[in-house]
Amino acid sequence: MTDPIATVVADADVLAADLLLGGTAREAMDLVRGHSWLRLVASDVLLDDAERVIAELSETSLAADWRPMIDSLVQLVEHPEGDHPAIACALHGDARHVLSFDDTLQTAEAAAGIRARVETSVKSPDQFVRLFDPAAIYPEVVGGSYPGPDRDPRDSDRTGD
Amino acid sequence: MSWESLFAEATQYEVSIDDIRETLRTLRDD
Repeated sequence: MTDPIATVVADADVLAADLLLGGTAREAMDLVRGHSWLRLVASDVLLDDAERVIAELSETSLAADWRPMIDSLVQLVEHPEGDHPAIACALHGDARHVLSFDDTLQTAEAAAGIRARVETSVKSPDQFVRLFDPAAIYPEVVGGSYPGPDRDPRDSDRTGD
Repeated sequence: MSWESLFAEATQYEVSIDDIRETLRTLRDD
């Protein structure tokens, strides 16, 4: 299994913003898409949420085009119904990073509750882009010198592993 | 289909982060 520090969960709001808004959500997702050794974890529930948000705010056809692209990028995990999808994905997918625009997940109280269940930290995409340094963790996760991004984050889909 | 073409397709929709947060909150509260 990929090292937890190289494993990321993007909540449905970040996935929808990556597609519909760009900005820091897309910068954060480009980091993930651009490095084959970073693992994006999600569940069908989380992806269904994002697809429904996209369809609600644009067209079902755009959401339908988006779904196979994201399906090919993620590693799916299962979690109990009713759990917060992003936190549950971090727990069951052993992810150190959760990206979300939900401020309520980033309060000190929420962070303490989450860390009682799983060693992860919830960050906004902006925080992730500023704080996450692929070069710093590459020697530990992969080994050797960091070669830079090894994929074009915009070119095509990639298969999750 | 590439991500770039998908992003290009999405630019026609005017969406804010508040729209996204509110839509997701409503969906998950249901």
